[in-house]
Amino acid sequence: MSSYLFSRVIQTIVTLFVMSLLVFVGLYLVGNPVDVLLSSSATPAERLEVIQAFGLDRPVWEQYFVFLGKALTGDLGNSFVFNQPALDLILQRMPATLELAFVALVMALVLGIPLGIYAGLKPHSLVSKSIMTFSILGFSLPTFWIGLIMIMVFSVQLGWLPASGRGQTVELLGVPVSFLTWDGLSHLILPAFNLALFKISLVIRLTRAGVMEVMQLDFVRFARAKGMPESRILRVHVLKNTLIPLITVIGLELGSLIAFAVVTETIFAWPGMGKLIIDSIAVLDRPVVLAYLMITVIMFSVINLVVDILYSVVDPRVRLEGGSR
Amino acid sequence: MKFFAAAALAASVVLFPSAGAWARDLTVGLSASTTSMDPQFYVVGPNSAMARNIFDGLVNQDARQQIEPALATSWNRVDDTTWEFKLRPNVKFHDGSDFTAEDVVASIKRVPLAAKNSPSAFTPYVKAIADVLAVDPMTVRITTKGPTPLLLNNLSRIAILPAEFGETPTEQMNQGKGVVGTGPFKFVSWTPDSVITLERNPDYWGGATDWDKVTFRIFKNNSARVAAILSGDVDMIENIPTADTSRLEESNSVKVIKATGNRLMYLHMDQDRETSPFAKGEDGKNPLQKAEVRRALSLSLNSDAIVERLMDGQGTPTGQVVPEGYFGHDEALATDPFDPNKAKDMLAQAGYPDGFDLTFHATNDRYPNDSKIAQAVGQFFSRIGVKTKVETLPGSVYFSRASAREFSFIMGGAAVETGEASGVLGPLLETFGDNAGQGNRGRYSNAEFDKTLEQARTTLDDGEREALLKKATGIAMSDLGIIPLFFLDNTWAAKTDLSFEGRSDGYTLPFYVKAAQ
Repeated sequence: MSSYLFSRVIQTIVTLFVMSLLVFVGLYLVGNPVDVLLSSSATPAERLEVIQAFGLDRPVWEQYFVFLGKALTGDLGNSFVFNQPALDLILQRMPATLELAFVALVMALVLGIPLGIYAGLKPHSLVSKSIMTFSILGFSLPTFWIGLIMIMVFSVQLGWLPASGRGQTVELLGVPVSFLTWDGLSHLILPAFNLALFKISLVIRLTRAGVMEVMQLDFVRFARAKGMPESRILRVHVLKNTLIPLITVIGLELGSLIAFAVVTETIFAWPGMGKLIIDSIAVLDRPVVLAYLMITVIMFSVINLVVDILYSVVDPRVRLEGGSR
Repeated sequence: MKFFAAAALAASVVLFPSAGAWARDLTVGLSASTTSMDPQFYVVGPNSAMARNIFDGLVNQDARQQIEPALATSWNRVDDTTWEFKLRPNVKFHDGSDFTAEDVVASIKRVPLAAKNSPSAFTPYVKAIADVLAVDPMTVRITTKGPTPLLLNNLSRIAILPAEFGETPTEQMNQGKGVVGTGPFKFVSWTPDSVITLERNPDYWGGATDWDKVTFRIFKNNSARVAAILSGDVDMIENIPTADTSRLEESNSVKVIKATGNRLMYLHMDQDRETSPFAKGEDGKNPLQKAEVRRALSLSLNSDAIVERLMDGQGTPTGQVVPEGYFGHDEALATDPFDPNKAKDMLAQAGYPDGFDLTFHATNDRYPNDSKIAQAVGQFFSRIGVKTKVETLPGSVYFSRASAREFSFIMGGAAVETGEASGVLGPLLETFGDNAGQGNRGRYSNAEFDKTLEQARTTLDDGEREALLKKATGIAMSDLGIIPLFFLDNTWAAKTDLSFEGRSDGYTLPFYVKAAQ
């Protein structure tokens, strides 16, 4: 197990390194931030001053090594426009994004799994067919559009829920969260549901397919023949076997929920990291973009690791070993 | 709809139980984020606008960007390079300390300190100042390096803070330390990119505002901002997306406020290269060098239609560089009419009866509807026979390439920050050089224009200076150094019981927002 963990950490470091190189060179090629930031009336002297302050006068490889050297000490540079450490900027916003993503994930599981099981057990009933139609809509309608429609219906027309922002937050273990107050929760419902919609559909479809497949297998028939109650068959035999593929997919999807909640955050003015990254790309605020992608890589690696461990818990046949798998 | 409004009201009362004086608070939806609480850190609209809520300058810019007294009540020029300012008595900073001449000296001297790591610093505004001296507690003397008629405009950009924070770096101000001004609102809190809260300064010298507390929230997404005002989440928003204008105008609960803005949308043409990368006649030469060709292109454009159709009326077509009411605006200067037939004739006379090849570059994420405008312009050109291709790029790519002169024909937008014509004439039209014409991406050059502008810059008499600025504008417009299209309107939407007159600089200033009693 420990050798496995060690090799995973090494893998992550290599990924981080390659990623930073690609992003750095990519951003360098896109354009010069000074052209975007500085007003057109600036004189060459003023321009040069800014270029030097940002270290943009050095050749690209030298800039990269400066970045790398600082990054190793945990300093990912100062944002050009905020003049604050890029890492702080991102970490400040991280709780909001994480909360949104986790609530969306919980919604996806709490709604998706029961609906999926039902649709898998009674595939021909009218309710199941409605569930499946809903899941097709959830898949195919763009998040952006649904978000706006939800705002128009629930906030503008009905006035039930606020259209934007995070509402009141309280500190939980030093982290501001909004799900503990009614005000915060009311702000959370729409964006979380919007973000969850695609995942709900995904979970429904995966669960349904899993249930239908497992129900045909010999051990289920055998359990039935033994006279085991249907609820126990479902709980112990069917559900557990269905969960295995679900965990893999959901694990990966959690990463994408966090890293790419951008669209939902933008529509609902949710103060998360996604909004920050879009603006930073637009003004070529390199340190922020780099720091954001570094954090994303780390997050994905951690989530994948957790998924692998969970996997071995649910399915005893899976064993974690070092080296290549 | 009434029922829904009542429901929304009831819901908000339930949701915000702590906000007792509900009607006396104001929530504003902004379209861009303030990047620093240091009013002297970064010259960019959202920062300057927020600074105006908390701080004052010696003088301020009014709704049409003309100078009005603020912390200085009067001033006189002792000689060509010496100015004396009488300060407003009995003004207190938010921390209770008295405002005196020492604070002015310290604030102006702080500018270079705040410029550290700034992407665009305030130092150009104090460049001309040789020395600042506190003559007595209520008098400040400023000496300039040469005659500086724009000193007042420049000073209107410099926020005055207490002398004790004269050494406070930007980082500390961002943490809330030293965000102390004399303005109508006191700073309460700031979460970058999300929320800024301010509270009333009851002792404001200009009279206390109507609002106990003001909350600014950032909605960069256009639809989200519109939804926020429609749902009643906020009382007021800025920058209405053009497509939603009519919808908001029809709404019963919201009204739309418009004001001609100070941002000029214009076309820049390569005028100094024999051959240009994206403009070629049959002989391979650059047709844009000929003034007749430029005039033909200008005549081919129907700016009224562009504003009416593409911008939903959010613009003011123009034939010069500053809007009406600005120093240097020339009533007598005519805007080119829309006349495609005459344009064709002129093109033929210039030696291009069959037009020429042109690729037109523009941004697609920098100005409202920029890529649509570019396409319309391209179609107008095609109509008179210029074979035009339109290419639009994200601003992050476009600006570097435009500065490197990789394009032949581009569209830009310039804001008249100084409130007078030289603020546009200088950067866009003066002959490109080490300290001039830095935004002149077409490299227009006319010696007489340069001379007139330079003369205006050192003329202290307002009447004479305005005449010179008009003359310089006239020269540039008869050469068509740039083709001006229109000024972007600034727009706001507010609940119907609020009033706000709108500003040409686009700043959303709650002090000027009044509630009907």
